[in-house]
Amino acid sequence: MAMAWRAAPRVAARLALGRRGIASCIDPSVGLTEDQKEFQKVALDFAAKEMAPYMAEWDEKEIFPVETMRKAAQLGFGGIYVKPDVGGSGLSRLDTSIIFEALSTGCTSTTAYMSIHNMCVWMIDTFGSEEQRRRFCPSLCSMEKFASYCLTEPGSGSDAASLLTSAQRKGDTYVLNGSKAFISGGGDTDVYVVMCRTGGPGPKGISCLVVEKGTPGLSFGKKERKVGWNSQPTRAVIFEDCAVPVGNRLGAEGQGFSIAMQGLNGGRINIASCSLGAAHASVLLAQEHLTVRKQFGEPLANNQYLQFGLAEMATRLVAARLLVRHAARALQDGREDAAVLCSMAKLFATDECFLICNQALQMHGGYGYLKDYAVQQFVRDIRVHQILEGTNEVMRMIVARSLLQG
Amino acid sequence: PQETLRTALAVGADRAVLAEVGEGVALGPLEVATALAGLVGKIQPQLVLLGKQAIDDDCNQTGQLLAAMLDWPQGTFASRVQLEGGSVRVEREVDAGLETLRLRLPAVLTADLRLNEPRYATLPNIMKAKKKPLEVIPAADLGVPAGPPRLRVLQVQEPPARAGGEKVENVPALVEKLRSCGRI
Repeated sequence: MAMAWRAAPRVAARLALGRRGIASCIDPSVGLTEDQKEFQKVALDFAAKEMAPYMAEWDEKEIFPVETMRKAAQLGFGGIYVKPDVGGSGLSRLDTSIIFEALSTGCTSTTAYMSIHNMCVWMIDTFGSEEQRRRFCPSLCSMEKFASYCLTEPGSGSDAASLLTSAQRKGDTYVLNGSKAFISGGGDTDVYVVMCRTGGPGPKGISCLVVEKGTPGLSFGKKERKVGWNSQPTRAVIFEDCAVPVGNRLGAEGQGFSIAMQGLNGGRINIASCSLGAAHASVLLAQEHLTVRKQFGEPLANNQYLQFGLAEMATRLVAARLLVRHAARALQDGREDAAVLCSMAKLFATDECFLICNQALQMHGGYGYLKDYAVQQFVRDIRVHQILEGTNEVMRMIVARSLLQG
Repeated sequence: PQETLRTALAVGADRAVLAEVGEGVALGPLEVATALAGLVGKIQPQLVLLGKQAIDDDCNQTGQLLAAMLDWPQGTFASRVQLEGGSVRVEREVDAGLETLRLRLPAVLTADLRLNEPRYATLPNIMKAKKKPLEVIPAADLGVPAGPPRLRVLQVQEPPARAGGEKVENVPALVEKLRSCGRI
């Protein structure tokens, strides 16, 4: 009988204990500094103890694990690349990638939400005034409050710059009208970073406003029923004559789209990192299953086809990881091609990691299809990484444009 | 070993000292206790907390040896520790159950599994750990004798495989069997 649900926490624990041996060619601590290894250790420990034992329950019961995320925030995971003077941890993009990759082995969906939260706090930290940073960032870094990123609308997904939510200036407020779709955390979170139209059509007419829950005119749609990412609620966010103080605008009028895109560069690395964690966990699950399950009188691991499959999975994983970390360094260093590299990394890692997780599921045979086994949750949770924060089609557009126009 | 100390600093310790031993030198509990006694002389702590036994040799001796060398009270297998002014109240896990002692400080305690759950390092503390002092002292400076280890492991073997049991029909047969084996 192959292993049961407890496999996910056990696999996470193996990662946390850093057991070498068979898995050392995919060891995620290779090439890291001493400090980075420490960050990774904490994140893996946290994932193994505080997340992996609950990931199935959070998925099944659609629980938004507020207390667990707050515990993570106490360790500094609420504002990883936010400046320390407002409560952040002040780490680099690479450190961040390593941390999210590690946390994702415990629960990919929750980690992905945490990465979105981190992205929003960074946007306020980077583009907000001193007053705005001090007003919003500390309680977000501690996760006393949670944030959501609001760009997509029913009528504008990939064509994000065509968004229609309007923000009309009236005295010292902006009055918002319109709606956002597919907002992660929507309805349960406290702070909404909203891209809306203050000017003419196109990207230059878009500004970025911070809208707080409880503002009159702010309401939410029904909670969406999703294939994965069930530990975070997804709702439409609706603005009906919602008045927001001008003092809640981040940056200048017309700067909103740029702020949104810069946020997404980091967001793409983070999402890619979440895919890496899920894929690593899935490789370990597959490896364990192949050694335990027997058919035709021998362990599945004696079968060359499956050996080759595992080898391919491991190779894809390492290749994807290297590209993601390369892009993270480029973004940290402010290289000119950073945005393109982030797109490449997101495209490659999310695609490859989905193949890895899916192949791991196949290797489990029928058991892979049961919700008692963790591998199916990794597959379901990372499937959406190929779609959000810019579809992988849009990632190709970005790379092609840079090659043909650059 | 420096990595282990850095982790301890990251979890909240204020400073670290590494008693450095040469490559390939085998340390037994007596040597470790001697080194610790030397450190106690330098640092003058009120409390020494050790693990109850190491995972490699399972000796369960170092804490007790150290207490004897220093002539300090010892509270071993501690599962609860409470400081009370100039003394420490220790609950010990012993075979008969739990024993509570009050020891006058300074004292040596060894930790049982149930003492607590290690806390997580926080990201800011991991970064601060780099700046915390880590001193390296050669073990010889602490009085650890050079030379070959005094203890040598001659052999390690598994216990003999258990022979199969035997089923008996009824109680009289059981009693008969036990008598014939000399058990009763």
